[in-house]
Amino acid sequence: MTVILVSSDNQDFKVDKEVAERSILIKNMLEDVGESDSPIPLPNVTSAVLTKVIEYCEHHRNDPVQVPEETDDPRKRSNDIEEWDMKFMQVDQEMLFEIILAANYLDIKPLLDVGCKTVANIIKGKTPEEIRKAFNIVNDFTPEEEAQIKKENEWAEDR
Amino acid sequence: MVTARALETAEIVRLIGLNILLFDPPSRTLAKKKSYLPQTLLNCCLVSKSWRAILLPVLWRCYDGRLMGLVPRLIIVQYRSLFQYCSGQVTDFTVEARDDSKSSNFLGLQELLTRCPRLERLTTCPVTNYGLLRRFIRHVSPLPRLGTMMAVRVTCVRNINKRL
Repeated sequence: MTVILVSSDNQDFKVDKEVAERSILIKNMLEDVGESDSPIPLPNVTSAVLTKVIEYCEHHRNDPVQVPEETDDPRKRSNDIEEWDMKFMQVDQEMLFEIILAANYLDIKPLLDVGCKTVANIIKGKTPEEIRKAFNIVNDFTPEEEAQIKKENEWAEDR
Repeated sequence: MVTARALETAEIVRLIGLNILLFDPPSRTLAKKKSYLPQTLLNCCLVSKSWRAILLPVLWRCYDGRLMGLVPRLIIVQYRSLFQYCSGQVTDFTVEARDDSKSSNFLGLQELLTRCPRLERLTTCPVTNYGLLRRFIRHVSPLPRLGTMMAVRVTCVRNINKRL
Protein backbone atom coordinates (compact mmCIF):
# COMPACT_ATOMS: atom_id res chain seq x y z
CA MET A 1 0.00 0.00 0.00
CA THR A 2 1.21 3.50 -0.80
CA VAL A 3 0.39 6.93 0.53
CA ILE A 4 0.78 10.33 -1.07
CA LEU A 5 2.59 13.06 0.83
CA VAL A 6 2.27 16.64 -0.33
CA SER A 7 5.10 19.05 0.40
CA SER A 8 4.66 22.74 1.23
CA ASP A 9 5.45 23.62 -2.39
CA ASN A 10 2.71 21.26 -3.60
CA GLN A 11 4.80 18.39 -4.86
CA ASP A 12 3.34 14.92 -4.48
CA PHE A 13 5.47 12.04 -3.18
CA LYS A 14 4.14 8.50 -3.50
CA VAL A 15 5.75 6.34 -0.82
CA ASP A 16 5.15 2.93 0.71
CA LYS A 17 3.00 3.10 3.81
CA GLU A 18 5.63 1.38 5.94
CA VAL A 19 8.18 3.99 4.86
CA ALA A 20 5.81 6.88 5.57
CA GLU A 21 5.03 5.38 8.96
CA ARG A 22 8.59 5.90 10.15
CA SER A 23 7.06 9.28 10.94
CA ILE A 24 4.96 8.97 14.06
CA LEU A 25 2.99 12.05 12.96
CA ILE A 26 2.02 10.40 9.67
CA LYS A 27 1.42 7.04 11.35
CA ASN A 28 -1.04 8.66 13.75
CA MET A 29 -2.72 10.59 10.93
CA LEU A 30 -3.18 7.38 8.91
CA GLU A 31 -4.61 5.62 11.95
CA ASP A 32 -7.01 8.50 12.55
CA VAL A 33 -8.36 8.68 8.99
CA GLY A 34 -8.41 4.90 8.46
CA GLU A 35 -8.43 3.46 4.91
CA SER A 36 -8.23 6.50 2.65
CA ASP A 37 -6.48 7.56 -0.55
CA SER A 38 -6.46 11.20 0.48
CA PRO A 39 -3.07 12.85 0.12
CA ILE A 40 -1.40 13.94 3.37
CA PRO A 41 -0.39 17.61 3.35
CA LEU A 42 2.89 18.47 5.09
CA PRO A 43 2.80 22.26 5.11
CA ASN A 44 6.02 22.60 7.11
CA VAL A 45 8.24 20.54 4.81
CA THR A 46 9.54 21.62 1.41
CA SER A 47 10.00 19.15 -1.44
CA ALA A 48 13.80 19.35 -1.17
CA VAL A 49 13.69 18.41 2.49
CA LEU A 50 10.96 15.82 2.06
CA THR A 51 13.09 14.13 -0.60
CA LYS A 52 15.89 13.78 1.96
CA VAL A 53 13.54 12.61 4.71
CA ILE A 54 12.03 9.95 2.44
CA GLU A 55 15.54 8.83 1.44
CA TYR A 56 16.35 8.34 5.13
CA CYS A 57 13.11 6.51 5.86
CA GLU A 58 13.57 4.25 2.80
CA HIS A 59 17.05 3.29 3.99
CA HIS A 60 15.84 2.59 7.52
CA ARG A 61 12.48 1.05 6.59
CA ASN A 62 13.34 -2.29 8.20
CA ASP A 63 14.90 -0.92 11.38
CA PRO A 64 13.16 -1.96 14.57
CA VAL A 65 10.91 0.76 15.95
CA GLN A 66 13.01 2.77 18.36
CA VAL A 67 11.84 2.57 21.94
CA PRO A 68 12.41 5.72 23.96
CA GLU A 69 15.75 5.62 25.76
CA GLU A 70 15.26 4.63 29.35
CA THR A 71 17.99 6.93 30.50
CA ASP A 72 19.72 10.16 29.65
CA ASP A 73 22.59 9.11 31.91
CA PRO A 74 25.59 10.71 30.18
CA ARG A 75 27.89 7.92 31.33
CA LYS A 76 25.99 5.50 29.09
CA ARG A 77 25.72 7.68 26.02
CA SER A 78 27.79 7.57 22.88
CA ASN A 79 27.60 9.91 19.92
CA ASP A 80 28.60 7.38 17.31
CA ILE A 81 26.84 7.76 13.98
CA GLU A 82 26.47 4.92 11.47
CA GLU A 83 28.52 5.35 8.31
CA TRP A 84 25.49 5.64 6.00
CA ASP A 85 23.86 8.21 8.29
CA MET A 86 27.08 10.20 8.47
CA LYS A 87 27.25 10.42 4.67
CA PHE A 88 23.53 11.22 4.55
CA MET A 89 24.14 14.15 6.87
CA GLN A 90 26.94 15.60 4.76
CA VAL A 91 24.82 18.54 3.62
CA ASP A 92 25.13 22.27 4.03
CA GLN A 93 24.17 23.79 7.36
CA GLU A 94 20.81 25.12 6.19
CA MET A 95 19.77 21.69 4.96
CA LEU A 96 21.06 20.06 8.15
CA PHE A 97 18.78 22.25 10.26
CA GLU A 98 15.91 21.87 7.75
CA ILE A 99 16.19 18.10 8.24
CA ILE A 100 16.28 18.51 12.04
CA LEU A 101 13.17 20.72 11.98
CA ALA A 102 11.38 18.30 9.65
CA ALA A 103 12.33 15.31 11.82
CA ASN A 104 11.04 17.17 14.87
CA TYR A 105 7.77 18.11 13.12
CA LEU A 106 7.24 14.65 11.61
CA ASP A 107 8.28 12.95 14.84
CA ILE A 108 11.02 10.75 13.39
CA LYS A 109 13.16 10.32 16.49
CA PRO A 110 16.11 8.40 14.97
CA LEU A 111 16.52 11.07 12.28
CA LEU A 112 16.24 13.83 14.87
CA ASP A 113 18.92 12.07 16.95
CA VAL A 114 21.29 11.75 14.01
CA GLY A 115 20.78 15.42 13.14
CA CYS A 116 21.43 16.54 16.70
CA LYS A 117 24.50 14.28 16.99
CA THR A 118 25.84 15.86 13.80
CA VAL A 119 25.40 19.35 15.27
CA ALA A 120 26.96 18.16 18.55
CA ASN A 121 30.00 16.97 16.59
CA ILE A 122 30.25 20.36 14.87
CA ILE A 123 30.18 22.11 18.26
CA LYS A 124 32.75 19.82 19.89
CA GLY A 125 35.92 21.68 20.84
CA LYS A 126 34.62 25.10 19.83
CA THR A 127 34.81 28.17 22.06
CA PRO A 128 31.60 30.09 22.85
CA GLU A 129 32.57 32.73 20.29
CA GLU A 130 33.21 30.10 17.62
CA ILE A 131 29.82 28.50 18.33
CA ARG A 132 28.07 31.89 18.04
CA LYS A 133 29.85 32.56 14.79
CA ALA A 134 29.06 29.11 13.38
CA PHE A 135 25.33 29.47 14.04
CA ASN A 136 24.95 33.25 13.93
CA ILE A 137 23.86 33.52 17.57
CA VAL A 138 23.88 36.86 19.36
CA ASN A 139 25.77 37.09 22.63
CA ASP A 140 23.22 38.63 25.02
CA PHE A 141 25.38 38.41 28.16
CA THR A 142 26.69 41.64 29.57
CA PRO A 143 30.50 41.75 29.86
CA GLU A 144 30.09 41.47 33.65
CA GLU A 145 27.86 38.39 33.38
CA GLU A 146 30.25 36.78 30.93
CA ALA A 147 33.24 37.48 33.17
CA GLN A 148 31.38 36.05 36.17
CA ILE A 149 30.55 32.81 34.36
CA LYS A 150 34.09 32.46 33.01
CA LYS A 151 35.39 32.85 36.55
CA GLU A 152 32.96 30.18 37.74
CA ASN A 153 34.24 27.86 34.99
CA GLU A 154 37.94 28.29 35.78
CA TRP A 155 38.10 24.89 37.48
CA ALA A 156 37.45 23.21 34.13
CA GLU A 157 40.16 24.94 32.13
CA ASP A 158 42.52 22.63 30.25
CA ARG A 159 40.22 19.67 30.80
CA MET B 1 17.19 31.76 9.05
CA VAL B 2 16.45 28.04 9.29
CA THR B 3 19.39 27.58 11.63
CA ALA B 4 18.07 30.33 13.86
CA ARG B 5 14.57 28.83 13.85
CA ALA B 6 15.91 25.42 14.83
CA LEU B 7 18.15 26.84 17.54
CA GLU B 8 15.29 28.84 19.01
CA THR B 9 13.50 25.54 19.67
CA ALA B 10 14.39 24.60 23.22
CA GLU B 11 13.85 20.89 22.70
CA ILE B 12 16.26 20.82 19.76
CA VAL B 13 18.96 22.71 21.69
CA ARG B 14 18.45 20.30 24.61
CA LEU B 15 18.79 17.28 22.32
CA ILE B 16 21.97 18.71 20.84
CA GLY B 17 23.28 19.20 24.38
CA LEU B 18 22.38 15.63 25.35
CA ASN B 19 24.51 14.45 22.43
CA ILE B 20 27.60 16.34 23.54
CA LEU B 21 29.71 13.83 25.42
CA LEU B 22 30.18 14.54 29.13
CA PHE B 23 32.13 11.34 29.74
CA ASP B 24 34.13 9.08 27.46
CA PRO B 25 31.60 6.75 25.87
CA PRO B 26 31.51 3.19 27.29
CA SER B 27 32.98 1.53 24.19
CA ARG B 28 36.14 3.61 24.42
CA THR B 29 36.67 3.11 28.10
CA LEU B 30 37.10 -0.63 28.43
CA ALA B 31 40.86 -0.33 28.52
CA LYS B 32 41.25 3.00 30.28
CA LYS B 33 39.75 5.05 33.03
CA LYS B 34 36.71 7.11 32.08
CA SER B 35 37.23 10.82 31.82
CA TYR B 36 34.94 13.70 32.61
CA LEU B 37 34.70 16.09 29.66
CA PRO B 38 32.61 19.12 30.64
CA GLN B 39 34.40 21.79 28.61
CA THR B 40 32.26 21.76 25.48
CA LEU B 41 29.01 21.95 27.44
CA LEU B 42 30.45 24.66 29.66
CA ASN B 43 31.28 26.59 26.49
CA CYS B 44 27.75 26.04 25.19
CA CYS B 45 26.40 27.51 28.43
CA LEU B 46 28.31 30.69 27.63
CA VAL B 47 26.85 31.12 24.14
CA SER B 48 23.66 32.99 25.11
CA LYS B 49 21.23 33.30 27.97
CA SER B 50 18.69 30.99 26.39
CA TRP B 51 21.32 28.31 25.72
CA ARG B 52 22.49 28.65 29.32
CA ALA B 53 18.95 28.18 30.64
CA ILE B 54 18.42 25.09 28.48
CA LEU B 55 21.86 23.51 28.84
CA LEU B 56 22.73 23.98 32.52
CA PRO B 57 20.28 21.17 33.44
CA VAL B 58 21.90 19.05 30.73
CA LEU B 59 25.43 19.79 31.97
CA TRP B 60 24.54 19.07 35.60
CA ARG B 61 22.14 16.16 35.15
CA CYS B 62 24.74 13.75 36.48
CA TYR B 63 26.99 13.74 39.50
CA ASP B 64 29.54 10.96 39.67
CA GLY B 65 31.86 11.43 42.61
CA ARG B 66 34.48 9.03 41.24
CA LEU B 67 34.87 10.95 38.00
CA MET B 68 34.11 14.53 38.99
CA GLY B 69 36.56 14.94 41.85
CA LEU B 70 37.98 18.17 40.42
CA VAL B 71 34.63 19.95 40.47
CA PRO B 72 34.75 22.40 43.40
CA ARG B 73 32.34 21.71 46.23
CA LEU B 74 30.80 25.17 45.84
CA ILE B 75 29.86 24.34 42.25
CA ILE B 76 28.38 21.00 43.32
CA VAL B 77 26.31 22.72 45.97
CA GLN B 78 25.19 25.37 43.50
CA TYR B 79 23.93 22.90 40.91
CA ARG B 80 22.94 19.85 42.95
CA SER B 81 19.25 20.53 42.49
CA LEU B 82 19.79 19.66 38.82
CA PHE B 83 21.29 16.21 39.47
CA GLN B 84 19.21 13.39 38.07
CA TYR B 85 21.90 10.72 38.29
CA CYS B 86 24.08 10.56 41.36
CA SER B 87 26.66 8.02 42.32
CA GLY B 88 30.07 7.73 43.86
CA GLN B 89 30.71 9.88 46.85
CA VAL B 90 27.38 11.60 47.51
CA THR B 91 27.03 11.33 51.26
CA ASP B 92 24.85 14.30 51.98
CA PHE B 93 21.79 15.27 50.02
CA THR B 94 19.28 18.04 50.61
CA VAL B 95 15.79 17.96 49.19
CA GLU B 96 14.09 21.28 48.88
CA ALA B 97 10.54 20.07 49.43
CA ARG B 98 7.91 22.74 49.08
CA ASP B 99 4.56 22.58 50.77
CA ASP B 100 2.89 22.14 47.39
CA SER B 101 5.15 19.19 46.44
CA LYS B 102 3.30 16.25 45.00
CA SER B 103 3.75 12.58 45.80
CA SER B 104 5.00 12.00 42.24
CA ASN B 105 8.02 14.18 43.05
CA PHE B 106 8.89 11.78 45.85
CA LEU B 107 8.87 8.88 43.41
CA GLY B 108 11.60 10.72 41.50
CA LEU B 109 13.41 11.17 44.79
CA GLN B 110 13.30 7.42 45.40
CA GLU B 111 14.85 6.83 41.99
CA LEU B 112 17.55 9.38 42.72
CA LEU B 113 18.39 8.03 46.16
CA THR B 114 18.86 4.50 44.89
CA ARG B 115 21.73 5.93 42.83
CA CYS B 116 23.53 7.30 45.90
CA PRO B 117 25.00 4.20 47.55
CA ARG B 118 27.15 6.18 49.96
CA LEU B 119 24.41 8.46 51.19
CA GLU B 120 24.74 9.11 54.89
CA ARG B 121 22.47 12.03 55.49
CA LEU B 122 19.26 13.14 53.85
CA THR B 123 17.91 16.56 54.69
CA THR B 124 14.61 18.06 53.69
CA CYS B 125 13.91 21.72 54.02
CA PRO B 126 11.90 23.73 54.58
CA VAL B 127 8.95 21.70 55.79
CA THR B 128 6.12 23.48 57.49
CA ASN B 129 3.46 21.04 56.39
CA TYR B 130 3.42 17.94 58.60
CA GLY B 131 1.33 15.97 56.13
CA LEU B 132 4.01 16.55 53.54
CA LEU B 133 6.69 15.38 55.96
CA ARG B 134 4.75 12.19 56.70
CA ARG B 135 4.47 11.49 52.96
CA PHE B 136 8.17 12.23 52.51
CA ILE B 137 9.21 9.74 55.18
CA ARG B 138 6.73 7.18 53.88
CA HIS B 139 8.30 7.44 50.42
CA VAL B 140 11.95 7.23 51.43
CA SER B 141 11.72 4.70 54.26
CA PRO B 142 11.00 1.60 52.10
CA LEU B 143 14.10 2.15 50.00
CA PRO B 144 16.12 -1.06 50.20
CA ARG B 145 19.47 0.71 50.26
CA LEU B 146 18.36 3.11 52.93
CA GLY B 147 17.11 0.18 54.96
CA THR B 148 20.56 -1.38 55.02
CA MET B 149 22.54 1.77 55.73
CA MET B 150 23.15 2.22 59.40
CA ALA B 151 24.23 5.82 59.06
CA VAL B 152 21.30 7.19 57.16
CA ARG B 153 19.37 9.82 58.99
CA VAL B 154 16.45 11.81 57.72
CA THR B 155 16.98 15.26 59.12
CA CYS B 156 14.38 17.96 59.08
CA VAL B 157 15.53 21.50 59.42
CA ARG B 158 13.00 22.40 62.06
CA ASN B 159 13.45 19.10 63.81
CA ILE B 160 9.73 18.50 63.82
CA ASN B 161 9.98 14.70 63.79
CA LYS B 162 9.03 14.74 67.45
CA ARG B 163 5.60 15.94 66.57
CA LEU B 164 4.90 12.97 64.29
